[in-house]
Amino acid sequence: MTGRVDQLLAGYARGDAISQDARSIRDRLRASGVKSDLFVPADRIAPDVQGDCLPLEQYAAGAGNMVIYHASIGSPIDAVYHRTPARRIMRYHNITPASFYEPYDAGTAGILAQARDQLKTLADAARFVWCDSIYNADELRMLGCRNVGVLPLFYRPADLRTEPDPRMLDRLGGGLTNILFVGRLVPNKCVEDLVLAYAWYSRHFNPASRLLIAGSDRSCPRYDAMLKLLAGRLNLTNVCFLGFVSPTQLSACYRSAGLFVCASRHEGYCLPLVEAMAHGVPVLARRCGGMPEAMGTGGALYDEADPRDLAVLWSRLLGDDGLRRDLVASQVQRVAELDQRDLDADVRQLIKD
Amino acid sequence: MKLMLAGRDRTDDVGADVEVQARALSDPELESLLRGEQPVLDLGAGCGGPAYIRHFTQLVRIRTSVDTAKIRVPEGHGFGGGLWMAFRRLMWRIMRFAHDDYAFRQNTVNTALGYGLEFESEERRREGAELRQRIDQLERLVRERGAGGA
Repeated sequence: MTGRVDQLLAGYARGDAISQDARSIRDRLRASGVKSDLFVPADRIAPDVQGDCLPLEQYAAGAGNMVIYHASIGSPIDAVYHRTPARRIMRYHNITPASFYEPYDAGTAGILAQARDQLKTLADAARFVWCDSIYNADELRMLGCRNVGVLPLFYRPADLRTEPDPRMLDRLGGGLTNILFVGRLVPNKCVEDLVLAYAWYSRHFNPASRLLIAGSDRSCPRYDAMLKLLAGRLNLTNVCFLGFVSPTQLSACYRSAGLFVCASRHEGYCLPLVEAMAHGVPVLARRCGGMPEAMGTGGALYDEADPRDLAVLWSRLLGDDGLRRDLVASQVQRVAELDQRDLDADVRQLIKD
Repeated sequence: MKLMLAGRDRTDDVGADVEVQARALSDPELESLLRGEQPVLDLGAGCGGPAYIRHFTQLVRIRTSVDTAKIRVPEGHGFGGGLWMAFRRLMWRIMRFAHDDYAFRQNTVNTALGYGLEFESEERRREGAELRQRIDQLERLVRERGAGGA
Protein backbone atom coordinates (compact mmCIF):
# COMPACT_ATOMS: atom_id res chain seq x y z
CA MET A 1 0.00 0.00 0.00
CA THR A 2 1.39 3.40 -0.97
CA GLY A 3 1.96 5.87 1.88
CA ARG A 4 1.90 9.20 0.13
CA VAL A 5 1.39 10.07 -3.53
CA ASP A 6 2.98 13.40 -4.39
CA GLN A 7 3.27 15.13 -7.74
CA LEU A 8 6.06 17.16 -9.31
CA LEU A 9 5.14 19.91 -11.77
CA ALA A 10 7.28 22.39 -13.71
CA GLY A 11 4.79 25.21 -13.08
CA TYR A 12 1.44 25.84 -11.44
CA ALA A 13 -1.21 28.33 -12.52
CA ARG A 14 -4.95 28.72 -12.72
CA GLY A 15 -6.30 27.90 -16.16
CA ASP A 16 -3.34 25.69 -17.06
CA ALA A 17 -4.36 22.20 -18.21
CA ILE A 18 -1.46 20.36 -16.53
CA SER A 19 -2.04 22.17 -13.23
CA GLN A 20 -5.71 21.27 -13.45
CA ASP A 21 -4.86 17.63 -14.14
CA ALA A 22 -2.53 17.46 -11.12
CA ARG A 23 -5.03 19.26 -8.86
CA SER A 24 -7.81 16.89 -9.87
CA ILE A 25 -5.61 13.82 -9.17
CA ARG A 26 -4.57 15.24 -5.78
CA ASP A 27 -8.12 16.07 -4.72
CA ARG A 28 -9.34 12.59 -5.63
CA LEU A 29 -6.45 10.97 -3.79
CA ARG A 30 -7.12 13.07 -0.70
CA ALA A 31 -10.81 12.23 -0.87
CA SER A 32 -9.91 8.54 -0.81
CA GLY A 33 -7.70 9.02 2.26
CA VAL A 34 -4.29 9.12 0.54
CA LYS A 35 -1.97 11.94 1.58
CA SER A 36 -1.01 13.95 -1.46
CA ASP A 37 0.64 17.27 -2.29
CA LEU A 38 1.86 19.14 -5.36
CA PHE A 39 5.49 20.32 -5.48
CA VAL A 40 6.52 23.07 -7.88
CA PRO A 41 9.67 25.24 -8.23
CA ALA A 42 8.87 28.31 -6.10
CA ASP A 43 9.48 30.80 -8.92
CA ARG A 44 7.03 28.96 -11.18
CA ILE A 45 3.98 29.21 -8.91
CA ALA A 46 1.47 31.87 -9.96
CA PRO A 47 0.88 34.38 -7.13
CA ASP A 48 -2.87 33.72 -6.87
CA VAL A 49 -2.41 29.96 -6.24
CA GLN A 50 0.56 30.08 -3.84
CA GLY A 51 -1.35 28.30 -1.08
CA ASP A 52 -2.50 25.44 -3.28
CA CYS A 53 0.90 23.80 -3.77
CA LEU A 54 4.27 23.56 -2.02
CA PRO A 55 7.73 24.76 -3.09
CA LEU A 56 9.88 22.05 -4.61
CA GLU A 57 12.54 22.47 -1.88
CA GLN A 58 10.09 20.99 0.64
CA TYR A 59 9.74 17.72 -1.26
CA ALA A 60 11.21 14.81 0.73
CA ALA A 61 9.76 11.42 -0.03
CA GLY A 62 10.54 8.07 1.55
CA ALA A 63 10.91 4.74 -0.22
CA GLY A 64 7.34 3.73 0.63
CA ASN A 65 5.89 6.68 -1.22
CA MET A 66 4.98 7.29 -4.81
CA VAL A 67 5.68 10.32 -7.00
CA ILE A 68 3.91 11.35 -10.17
CA TYR A 69 6.15 13.44 -12.38
CA HIS A 70 4.40 15.63 -14.99
CA ALA A 71 6.64 15.91 -18.05
CA SER A 72 6.12 18.87 -20.38
CA ILE A 73 9.32 20.95 -20.46
CA GLY A 74 12.84 20.84 -18.98
CA SER A 75 12.74 21.93 -15.32
CA PRO A 76 14.50 21.57 -11.94
CA ILE A 77 11.89 18.90 -11.10
CA ASP A 78 13.74 16.53 -13.47
CA ALA A 79 16.70 16.21 -11.09
CA VAL A 80 14.42 15.72 -8.05
CA TYR A 81 12.53 13.01 -9.92
CA HIS A 82 15.79 11.22 -10.73
CA ARG A 83 16.99 11.31 -7.12
CA THR A 84 13.82 10.42 -5.27
CA PRO A 85 13.66 6.97 -3.62
CA ALA A 86 9.87 6.98 -4.12
CA ARG A 87 8.26 4.78 -6.75
CA ARG A 88 8.12 6.86 -9.92
CA ILE A 89 5.20 7.32 -12.27
CA MET A 90 5.50 9.65 -15.23
CA ARG A 91 2.58 11.59 -16.66
CA TYR A 92 3.50 12.66 -20.18
CA HIS A 93 1.77 15.77 -21.56
CA ASN A 94 4.03 16.17 -24.60
CA ILE A 95 6.92 18.54 -25.26
CA THR A 96 6.50 21.21 -27.93
CA PRO A 97 9.08 20.71 -30.72
CA ALA A 98 11.84 23.32 -30.30
CA SER A 99 11.61 24.28 -33.98
CA PHE A 100 8.44 26.29 -33.29
CA TYR A 101 10.28 28.50 -30.81
CA GLU A 102 13.63 28.87 -32.62
CA PRO A 103 12.73 32.04 -34.59
CA TYR A 104 11.40 33.77 -31.47
CA ASP A 105 13.01 32.50 -28.30
CA ALA A 106 16.30 30.64 -28.47
CA GLY A 107 16.31 30.12 -24.68
CA THR A 108 12.99 28.27 -24.55
CA ALA A 109 13.87 26.40 -27.76
CA GLY A 110 17.03 25.15 -26.03
CA ILE A 111 15.10 24.01 -22.94
CA LEU A 112 12.56 22.19 -25.10
CA ALA A 113 15.27 20.51 -27.17
CA GLN A 114 17.04 19.37 -24.02
CA ALA A 115 13.78 18.08 -22.57
CA ARG A 116 13.18 16.01 -25.70
CA ASP A 117 16.73 14.65 -25.58
CA GLN A 118 16.16 13.51 -21.99
CA LEU A 119 12.64 12.22 -22.55
CA LYS A 120 13.53 8.56 -23.02
CA THR A 121 15.85 8.52 -20.00
CA LEU A 122 13.12 10.11 -17.86
CA ALA A 123 10.48 7.72 -19.17
CA ASP A 124 12.71 4.69 -18.60
CA ALA A 125 13.25 5.75 -14.99
CA ALA A 126 9.51 5.42 -14.31
CA ARG A 127 7.71 2.20 -13.34
CA PHE A 128 4.97 3.25 -15.73
CA VAL A 129 4.24 6.20 -18.02
CA TRP A 130 0.68 7.44 -18.31
CA CYS A 131 0.12 9.72 -21.31
CA ASP A 132 -2.91 11.96 -21.64
CA SER A 133 -3.53 10.99 -25.27
CA ILE A 134 -2.82 8.14 -27.69
CA TYR A 135 -0.86 10.66 -29.75
CA ASN A 136 1.51 11.24 -26.83
CA ALA A 137 1.77 7.52 -26.06
CA ASP A 138 2.64 6.75 -29.69
CA GLU A 139 5.42 9.32 -29.51
CA LEU A 140 6.98 7.53 -26.52
CA ARG A 141 6.54 4.09 -28.08
CA MET A 142 8.34 5.37 -31.18
CA LEU A 143 11.23 6.26 -28.88
CA GLY A 144 11.28 2.66 -27.70
CA CYS A 145 9.69 3.25 -24.29
CA ARG A 146 7.81 0.38 -22.69
CA ASN A 147 5.16 0.35 -19.95
CA VAL A 148 3.25 3.16 -21.61
CA GLY A 149 -0.51 3.63 -21.19
CA VAL A 150 -3.15 6.25 -21.80
CA LEU A 151 -5.28 8.03 -19.22
CA PRO A 152 -6.79 11.28 -20.55
CA LEU A 153 -6.53 14.52 -18.57
CA PHE A 154 -8.46 14.32 -15.31
CA TYR A 155 -11.42 16.59 -15.75
CA ARG A 156 -15.15 16.38 -16.09
CA PRO A 157 -16.62 18.65 -18.80
CA ALA A 158 -19.35 19.72 -16.36
CA ASP A 159 -16.64 21.13 -14.06
CA LEU A 160 -15.31 23.28 -16.91
CA ARG A 161 -18.51 25.34 -16.94
CA THR A 162 -18.55 28.24 -14.50
CA GLU A 163 -20.74 31.30 -14.09
CA PRO A 164 -19.73 33.97 -16.62
CA ASP A 165 -18.38 37.33 -15.53
CA PRO A 166 -21.23 39.81 -16.23
CA ARG A 167 -18.86 42.68 -17.11
CA MET A 168 -17.09 40.55 -19.67
CA LEU A 169 -20.42 39.37 -21.08
CA ASP A 170 -21.43 42.99 -21.44
CA ARG A 171 -18.12 43.88 -23.09
CA LEU A 172 -18.42 41.08 -25.64
CA GLY A 173 -22.08 41.73 -26.41
CA GLY A 174 -23.34 44.41 -28.75
CA GLY A 175 -24.59 42.22 -31.57
CA LEU A 176 -21.21 41.37 -33.12
CA THR A 177 -20.43 37.77 -34.09
CA ASN A 178 -17.58 36.54 -31.90
CA ILE A 179 -15.06 34.02 -33.20
CA LEU A 180 -13.02 32.71 -30.31
CA PHE A 181 -9.58 31.20 -29.81
CA VAL A 182 -8.36 30.20 -26.35
CA GLY A 183 -4.76 29.30 -25.59
CA ARG A 184 -1.39 30.73 -24.71
CA LEU A 185 0.08 32.89 -27.47
CA VAL A 186 2.92 30.59 -28.47
CA PRO A 187 4.24 29.81 -31.96
CA ASN A 188 2.90 26.24 -32.27
CA LYS A 189 -0.67 27.58 -31.94
CA CYS A 190 -0.34 29.38 -35.32
CA VAL A 191 -2.59 32.25 -34.28
CA GLU A 192 -1.36 34.18 -37.33
CA ASP A 193 -3.41 31.77 -39.50
CA LEU A 194 -6.51 32.90 -37.62
CA VAL A 195 -5.63 36.60 -38.00
CA LEU A 196 -5.11 36.20 -41.76
CA ALA A 197 -8.34 34.22 -42.12
CA TYR A 198 -10.17 36.90 -40.14
CA ALA A 199 -8.87 39.56 -42.56
CA TRP A 200 -10.76 37.75 -45.34
CA TYR A 201 -13.77 36.91 -43.23
CA SER A 202 -14.35 40.43 -41.92
CA ARG A 203 -14.03 42.04 -45.35
CA HIS A 204 -16.07 39.56 -47.36
CA PHE A 205 -18.57 37.98 -45.02
CA ASN A 206 -19.17 39.85 -41.81
CA PRO A 207 -17.60 43.17 -40.83
CA ALA A 208 -19.82 43.11 -37.72
CA SER A 209 -17.65 40.45 -36.12
CA ARG A 210 -14.72 40.07 -33.75
CA LEU A 211 -11.86 37.64 -33.44
CA LEU A 212 -11.34 37.11 -29.71
CA ILE A 213 -7.93 35.79 -28.71
CA ALA A 214 -7.93 34.80 -25.03
CA GLY A 215 -4.76 33.52 -23.40
CA SER A 216 -1.56 34.58 -21.75
CA ASP A 217 0.69 36.74 -23.94
CA ARG A 218 3.76 36.35 -21.67
CA SER A 219 4.91 32.88 -22.76
CA CYS A 220 6.62 34.11 -25.93
CA PRO A 221 6.60 37.93 -26.10
CA ARG A 222 8.29 38.09 -29.49
CA TYR A 223 5.60 35.94 -31.05
CA ASP A 224 2.94 38.10 -29.39
CA ALA A 225 4.64 41.23 -30.77
CA MET A 226 4.56 39.77 -34.27
CA LEU A 227 0.84 38.97 -34.01
CA LYS A 228 -0.04 42.45 -32.81
CA LEU A 229 2.04 44.09 -35.53
CA LEU A 230 0.28 41.93 -38.11
CA ALA A 231 -3.23 42.70 -36.87
CA GLY A 232 -2.41 46.40 -36.55
CA ARG A 233 -1.03 46.78 -40.03
CA LEU A 234 -3.97 44.92 -41.58
CA ASN A 235 -6.26 47.43 -39.83
CA LEU A 236 -8.04 44.62 -38.04
CA THR A 237 -9.46 46.71 -35.26
CA ASN A 238 -11.82 43.90 -34.31
CA VAL A 239 -9.06 41.43 -33.50
CA CYS A 240 -9.19 41.58 -29.70
CA PHE A 241 -6.20 40.32 -27.75
CA LEU A 242 -7.75 39.73 -24.33
CA GLY A 243 -4.62 38.40 -22.60
CA PHE A 244 -4.97 36.05 -19.64
CA VAL A 245 -8.58 35.78 -18.54
CA SER A 246 -10.01 34.47 -15.26
CA PRO A 247 -12.26 31.36 -15.27
CA THR A 248 -15.39 33.52 -15.05
CA GLN A 249 -14.18 35.81 -17.85
CA LEU A 250 -13.33 32.73 -19.92
CA SER A 251 -16.82 31.43 -19.35
CA ALA A 252 -18.17 34.78 -20.65
CA CYS A 253 -15.98 34.40 -23.76
CA TYR A 254 -17.47 30.96 -24.45
CA ARG A 255 -21.02 32.20 -23.81
CA SER A 256 -20.50 35.06 -26.27
CA ALA A 257 -18.82 33.02 -29.00
CA GLY A 258 -20.49 31.93 -32.22
CA LEU A 259 -17.58 29.71 -33.22
CA PHE A 260 -14.44 28.38 -31.56
CA VAL A 261 -11.41 28.08 -33.83
CA CYS A 262 -7.99 26.51 -33.35
CA ALA A 263 -5.27 26.37 -36.03
CA SER A 264 -2.60 24.87 -33.77
CA ARG A 265 -0.01 22.63 -35.40
CA HIS A 266 1.04 20.86 -32.23
CA GLU A 267 -1.09 19.84 -29.25
CA GLY A 268 -0.78 16.94 -26.85
CA TYR A 269 -4.53 17.07 -26.21
CA CYS A 270 -6.02 20.65 -26.19
CA LEU A 271 -8.48 21.07 -23.32
CA PRO A 272 -10.05 24.33 -24.64
CA LEU A 273 -11.68 22.30 -27.42
CA VAL A 274 -13.58 20.32 -24.79
CA GLU A 275 -14.33 23.47 -22.80
CA ALA A 276 -15.85 25.04 -25.90
CA MET A 277 -17.89 21.92 -26.61
CA ALA A 278 -19.08 21.88 -23.00
CA HIS A 279 -20.31 25.45 -23.46
CA GLY A 280 -22.20 24.52 -26.63
CA VAL A 281 -19.97 26.51 -29.00
CA PRO A 282 -19.36 24.90 -32.42
CA VAL A 283 -15.68 23.95 -32.65
CA LEU A 284 -13.42 24.01 -35.69
CA ALA A 285 -9.83 22.76 -35.30
CA ARG A 286 -6.92 21.59 -37.39
CA ARG A 287 -6.67 17.80 -37.48
CA CYS A 288 -3.28 17.26 -35.88
CA GLY A 289 -1.65 16.11 -32.65
CA GLY A 290 -4.00 15.05 -29.88
CA MET A 291 -6.87 17.29 -31.04
CA PRO A 292 -8.85 14.63 -32.94
CA GLU A 293 -8.82 12.54 -29.75
CA ALA A 294 -10.08 15.42 -27.64
CA MET A 295 -12.92 16.03 -30.07
CA GLY A 296 -13.86 12.42 -30.82
CA THR A 297 -16.71 12.53 -33.33
CA GLY A 298 -17.74 16.01 -32.22
CA GLY A 299 -17.18 19.34 -33.99
CA ALA A 300 -15.30 20.03 -37.22
CA LEU A 301 -11.74 19.14 -38.19
CA TYR A 302 -9.78 20.26 -41.24
CA ASP A 303 -6.39 19.16 -42.53
CA GLU A 304 -4.87 22.07 -44.42
CA ALA A 305 -6.53 25.32 -45.43
CA ASP A 306 -5.30 28.68 -46.61
CA PRO A 307 -6.73 31.86 -45.02
CA ARG A 308 -9.35 32.23 -47.75
CA ASP A 309 -10.57 28.65 -47.27
CA LEU A 310 -10.80 29.18 -43.54
CA ALA A 311 -12.75 32.43 -43.95
CA VAL A 312 -15.29 30.69 -46.21
CA LEU A 313 -15.53 27.76 -43.80
CA TRP A 314 -16.10 30.08 -40.83
CA SER A 315 -18.84 31.81 -42.76
CA ARG A 316 -20.44 28.47 -43.61
CA LEU A 317 -20.31 27.18 -40.04
CA LEU A 318 -21.70 30.44 -38.67
CA GLY A 319 -24.39 30.86 -41.30
CA ASP A 320 -25.67 27.35 -42.10
CA ASP A 321 -28.17 26.48 -39.36
CA GLY A 322 -28.41 22.81 -40.35
CA LEU A 323 -24.66 22.36 -40.19
CA ARG A 324 -24.48 24.16 -36.86
CA ARG A 325 -27.20 21.94 -35.40
CA ASP A 326 -25.31 18.81 -36.55
CA LEU A 327 -22.07 20.09 -35.07
CA VAL A 328 -23.58 21.06 -31.74
CA ALA A 329 -25.48 17.74 -31.51
CA SER A 330 -22.25 15.81 -32.15
CA GLN A 331 -20.50 17.85 -29.48
CA VAL A 332 -23.27 17.28 -26.92
CA GLN A 333 -22.84 13.55 -27.51
CA ARG A 334 -19.07 13.82 -27.11
CA VAL A 335 -19.36 15.81 -23.88
CA ALA A 336 -21.83 13.23 -22.53
CA GLU A 337 -19.30 10.45 -23.30
CA LEU A 338 -16.59 12.34 -21.43
CA ASP A 339 -18.90 13.05 -18.50
CA GLN A 340 -19.48 9.33 -18.02
CA ARG A 341 -15.84 8.63 -17.35
CA ASP A 342 -15.13 7.16 -13.90
CA LEU A 343 -12.34 9.47 -12.76
CA ASP A 344 -11.91 7.78 -9.36
CA ALA A 345 -11.33 4.42 -11.05
CA ASP A 346 -8.82 6.07 -13.37
CA VAL A 347 -6.94 7.58 -10.41
CA ARG A 348 -6.78 4.11 -8.81
CA GLN A 349 -5.38 2.81 -12.11
CA LEU A 350 -2.83 5.63 -12.18
CA ILE A 351 -1.31 4.68 -8.82
CA LYS A 352 -1.72 0.90 -9.12
CA ASP A 353 1.49 -0.95 -8.29
CA MET B 1 -10.10 20.66 -48.45
CA LYS B 2 -10.14 17.60 -46.23
CA LEU B 3 -12.97 18.15 -43.78
CA MET B 4 -14.63 16.09 -41.05
CA LEU B 5 -17.92 17.41 -39.68
CA ALA B 6 -19.62 15.74 -36.73
CA GLY B 7 -17.52 12.62 -37.28
CA ARG B 8 -18.37 12.31 -40.98
CA ASP B 9 -16.07 12.91 -43.93
CA ARG B 10 -17.54 15.93 -45.75
CA THR B 11 -14.53 16.60 -48.01
CA ASP B 12 -16.47 15.94 -51.19
CA ASP B 13 -19.46 18.16 -50.51
CA VAL B 14 -18.84 20.90 -47.94
CA GLY B 15 -15.03 20.83 -48.38
CA ALA B 16 -15.31 21.09 -52.17
CA ASP B 17 -17.92 23.90 -51.92
CA VAL B 18 -15.67 25.83 -49.57
CA GLU B 19 -12.73 25.54 -51.96
CA VAL B 20 -14.76 26.71 -54.96
CA GLN B 21 -16.12 29.68 -53.02
CA ALA B 22 -12.66 30.54 -51.66
CA ARG B 23 -11.09 30.49 -55.14
CA ALA B 24 -13.77 32.91 -56.33
CA LEU B 25 -12.93 35.44 -53.63
CA SER B 26 -10.99 38.34 -55.02
CA ASP B 27 -9.73 41.33 -53.10
CA PRO B 28 -6.76 43.10 -54.72
CA GLU B 29 -6.55 45.62 -51.88
CA LEU B 30 -6.32 42.93 -49.19
CA GLU B 31 -4.00 40.78 -51.30
CA SER B 32 -1.66 43.75 -51.71
CA LEU B 33 -1.84 44.42 -47.96
CA LEU B 34 -1.07 40.77 -47.22
CA ARG B 35 1.90 40.80 -49.59
CA GLY B 36 3.10 43.88 -47.72
CA GLU B 37 2.76 41.93 -44.47
CA GLN B 38 5.08 39.13 -45.57
CA PRO B 39 8.02 40.79 -43.77
CA VAL B 40 6.02 40.55 -40.52
CA LEU B 41 5.30 36.86 -41.07
CA ASP B 42 8.97 36.42 -41.97
CA LEU B 43 9.76 37.20 -38.34
CA GLY B 44 8.69 33.62 -37.67
CA ALA B 45 10.90 32.22 -40.39
CA GLY B 46 14.08 33.98 -39.32
CA CYS B 47 16.90 32.78 -37.17
CA GLY B 48 15.80 34.42 -33.89
CA GLY B 49 17.98 36.32 -31.42
CA PRO B 50 19.50 39.61 -32.58
CA ALA B 51 18.24 39.07 -36.14
CA TYR B 52 14.66 39.08 -34.85
CA ILE B 53 15.19 42.31 -32.90
CA ARG B 54 16.86 44.04 -35.86
CA HIS B 55 14.08 43.01 -38.24
CA PHE B 56 11.33 43.90 -35.75
CA THR B 57 12.79 47.34 -34.97
CA GLN B 58 12.98 48.15 -38.67
CA LEU B 59 9.37 47.07 -39.12
CA VAL B 60 8.23 49.25 -36.22
CA ARG B 61 10.05 52.24 -37.66
CA ILE B 62 8.54 51.93 -41.13
CA ARG B 63 5.06 50.97 -39.91
CA THR B 64 4.24 53.75 -37.52
CA SER B 65 1.99 55.89 -39.66
CA VAL B 66 -1.73 56.19 -39.03
CA ASP B 67 -3.12 56.36 -42.54
CA THR B 68 -6.61 57.78 -42.29
CA ALA B 69 -7.10 57.60 -46.06
CA LYS B 70 -7.44 53.83 -45.71
CA ILE B 71 -10.25 53.84 -43.17
CA ARG B 72 -13.05 51.85 -44.73
CA VAL B 73 -16.72 52.24 -43.92
CA PRO B 74 -18.17 48.72 -44.24
CA GLU B 75 -21.05 48.07 -46.65
CA GLY B 76 -24.49 48.09 -45.01
CA HIS B 77 -27.12 45.47 -45.78
CA GLY B 78 -30.74 46.33 -46.55
CA PHE B 79 -32.40 49.73 -46.31
CA GLY B 80 -31.41 50.33 -42.67
CA GLY B 81 -27.84 49.23 -43.34
CA GLY B 82 -27.58 51.53 -46.35
CA LEU B 83 -28.88 54.46 -44.34
CA TRP B 84 -26.45 53.72 -41.52
CA MET B 85 -23.55 53.49 -44.00
CA ALA B 86 -24.51 56.84 -45.58
CA PHE B 87 -24.67 58.43 -42.13
CA ARG B 88 -21.25 57.06 -41.19
CA ARG B 89 -19.73 58.31 -44.45
CA LEU B 90 -21.20 61.77 -43.88
CA MET B 91 -19.90 61.83 -40.31
CA TRP B 92 -16.47 60.74 -41.52
CA ARG B 93 -16.35 63.67 -43.99
CA ILE B 94 -17.30 66.12 -41.26
CA MET B 95 -14.86 64.71 -38.69
CA ARG B 96 -12.03 64.14 -41.13
CA PHE B 97 -10.35 67.51 -40.69
CA ALA B 98 -9.94 67.17 -36.93
CA HIS B 99 -9.08 63.49 -37.27
CA ASP B 100 -6.30 64.15 -39.80
CA ASP B 101 -4.84 66.79 -37.52
CA TYR B 102 -4.65 64.30 -34.62
CA ALA B 103 -3.32 61.60 -36.92
CA PHE B 104 -0.55 63.94 -38.13
CA ARG B 105 0.51 64.68 -34.54
CA GLN B 106 0.37 61.01 -33.58
CA ASN B 107 2.41 60.06 -36.66
CA THR B 108 5.07 62.61 -35.73
CA VAL B 109 5.41 61.08 -32.26
CA ASN B 110 5.32 57.49 -33.58
CA THR B 111 7.99 58.19 -36.18
CA ALA B 112 10.25 59.83 -33.60
CA LEU B 113 9.78 56.89 -31.22
CA GLY B 114 10.42 54.39 -34.00
CA TYR B 115 13.64 56.14 -34.91
CA GLY B 116 14.60 56.38 -31.26
CA LEU B 117 14.17 52.62 -30.87
CA GLU B 118 16.18 51.87 -33.98
CA PHE B 119 19.00 54.28 -33.02
CA GLU B 120 19.10 52.86 -29.50
CA SER B 121 19.24 49.33 -30.81
CA GLU B 122 22.04 50.24 -33.28
CA GLU B 123 23.97 51.95 -30.49
CA ARG B 124 23.75 48.84 -28.27
CA ARG B 125 24.88 46.63 -31.14
CA ARG B 126 27.85 48.92 -31.83
CA GLU B 127 28.76 49.03 -28.14
CA GLY B 128 28.52 45.25 -27.92
CA ALA B 129 30.74 44.81 -30.97
CA GLU B 130 33.35 47.22 -29.53
CA LEU B 131 33.33 45.43 -26.18
CA ARG B 132 33.71 42.03 -27.87
CA GLN B 133 36.63 43.43 -29.87
CA ARG B 134 38.30 44.77 -26.69
CA ILE B 135 37.81 41.44 -24.89
CA ASP B 136 39.35 39.61 -27.86
CA GLN B 137 42.34 41.99 -27.76
CA LEU B 138 42.78 41.56 -24.01
CA GLU B 139 42.53 37.77 -24.25
CA ARG B 140 45.10 37.77 -27.04
CA LEU B 141 47.37 39.95 -24.90
CA VAL B 142 47.00 37.63 -21.90
CA ARG B 143 47.74 34.58 -24.08
CA GLU B 144 50.84 36.27 -25.57
CA ARG B 145 52.16 37.32 -22.13
CA GLY B 146 51.47 33.84 -20.78
CA ALA B 147 53.39 32.29 -23.67
CA GLY B 148 56.20 34.86 -23.22
CA GLY B 149 56.41 34.13 -19.46
CA ALA B 150 56.64 30.39 -20.07
